[in-house]
Amino acid sequence: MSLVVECGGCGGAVVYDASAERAACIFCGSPAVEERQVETLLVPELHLPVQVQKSHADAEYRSWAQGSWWYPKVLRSLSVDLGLLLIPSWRFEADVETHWSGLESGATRSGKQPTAGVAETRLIHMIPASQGITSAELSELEPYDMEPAQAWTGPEEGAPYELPGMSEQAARAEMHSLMCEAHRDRISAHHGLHRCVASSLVRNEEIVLLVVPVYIGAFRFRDRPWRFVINAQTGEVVGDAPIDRVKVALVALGTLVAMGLLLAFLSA
Amino acid sequence: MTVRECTSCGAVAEFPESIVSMSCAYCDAPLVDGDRARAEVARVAPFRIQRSVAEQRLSEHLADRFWAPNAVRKGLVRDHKLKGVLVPFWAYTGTARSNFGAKVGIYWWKTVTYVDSKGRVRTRRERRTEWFSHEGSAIRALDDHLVSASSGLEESESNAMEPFDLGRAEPFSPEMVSGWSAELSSVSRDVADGVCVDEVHGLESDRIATYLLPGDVNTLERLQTDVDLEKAELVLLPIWIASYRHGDTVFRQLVNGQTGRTLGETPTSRAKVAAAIGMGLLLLAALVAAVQS
Repeated sequence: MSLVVECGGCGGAVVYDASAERAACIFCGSPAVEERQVETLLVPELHLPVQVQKSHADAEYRSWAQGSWWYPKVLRSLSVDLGLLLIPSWRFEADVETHWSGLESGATRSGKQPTAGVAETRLIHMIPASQGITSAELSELEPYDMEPAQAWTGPEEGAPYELPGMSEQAARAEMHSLMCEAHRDRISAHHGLHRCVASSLVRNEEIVLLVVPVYIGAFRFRDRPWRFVINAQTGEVVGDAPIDRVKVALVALGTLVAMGLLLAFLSA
Repeated sequence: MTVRECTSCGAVAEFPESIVSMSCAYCDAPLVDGDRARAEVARVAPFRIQRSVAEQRLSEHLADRFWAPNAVRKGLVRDHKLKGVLVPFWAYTGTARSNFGAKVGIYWWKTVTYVDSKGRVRTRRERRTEWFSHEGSAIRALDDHLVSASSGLEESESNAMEPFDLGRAEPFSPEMVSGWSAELSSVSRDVADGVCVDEVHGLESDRIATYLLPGDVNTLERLQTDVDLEKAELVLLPIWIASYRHGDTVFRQLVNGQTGRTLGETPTSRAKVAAAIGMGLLLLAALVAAVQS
């Protein structure tokens, strides 16, 4: 049996094994650790089914790993165990009203002049409600297709499911600033602005706690872990790959030798 | 003043005007005036910082206040003077829309020809600023903007105690306030509305001047902000408070019951200052005596 234990010193909440001895808070070392009932358990409303089979995801990973000549050879031959993970995420759909000021091109001494406007749009964004993957990873994995969404009845056998941690209130605050930024970037690109500052109002939100499937693969290379994430609905692969330093060194050396030869040839 | 009977010992307890939770003077049982509180309080955020932790934070805060009287520096914590109070705040939702006029300056570079000290003609680039008139607008959502609803806690103090996480607040129930001191609003909505509008004007003026003008240098010249307050709810937020008198003045130390943020001015001990001056004079006298001999 596991317990949620909350620290009275810093407010951190940790799931402990009930048999383990309770001592100090792992975040702040305070002895003021108290067992508490979890206030309200967040329960997802919808989930998206897995549409990419593991073998297919593996093939997507292989082609991603071979996507650049700069990746080390070992990356292609590495056997990486792909794990399916169900990630709770907040999906927001909302009207955004943005008031902006910026600098556009003009026949002035600096070539720029100020301008301003108001724009409205409807935006869709997702942020993970767990620590499993980052906002940046999830936004790169988007879009997810909502068409096949089904009511959530609990995790299936064998698919680990991460408990939602981030509350709706916290997610809203993060979402509002993300939507403001996204709309500002869009306005800036649309008007070809040199600089753009903006304030936004987010209204008429539709908020869903959704479970999305991903495959996660991790491997160690050069003494650090590397991770990639695959959208289990579309097969999209997101991740950082290591660059082969030997190849970089060889290319740099090759260029230097070529330049040296060229110089020698020219002077001779 | 409301009169209630203590459910534990049967004594008659009198609730002062704005207090809705206290302990019985005879048997120390917690008493809550649930009916009155339920009618006014929308949400309550529970304490997350326990007494021992709040005392720890307070003694850290007071540790480097050397000139404070020892009764304050050590005594407040030693005598457990901190009291857990659920303090009332008005939480506003609404929208602020602003129109502004500004002077916006954009840098450009001019090539200037000059003659140097040796009589040679040289050129250099000088930075100039071209100014434009600029009209624009801004918008801000008020999402639980807090204004102190307790006449005992000044707005400046309550602002310095923020932020509070209202995501942790829950609808009022008597069990949530039982055992703590809890007050109702002693600041009317009219007064609080005025404070809220003034604060939002200030916030928008700062935000627009600092972040929402597009030039390399900007001057905000004209600002019109309309604040539309849609809703205000009374919320109770947890604060550990130690009040004490020093001379004729009341001083307060506050510890945020959610985050542990601590604040409070401390009085200066006249005895400590006098002792320091006395020591200084003695040293001086000893020095003079040493030099003369």
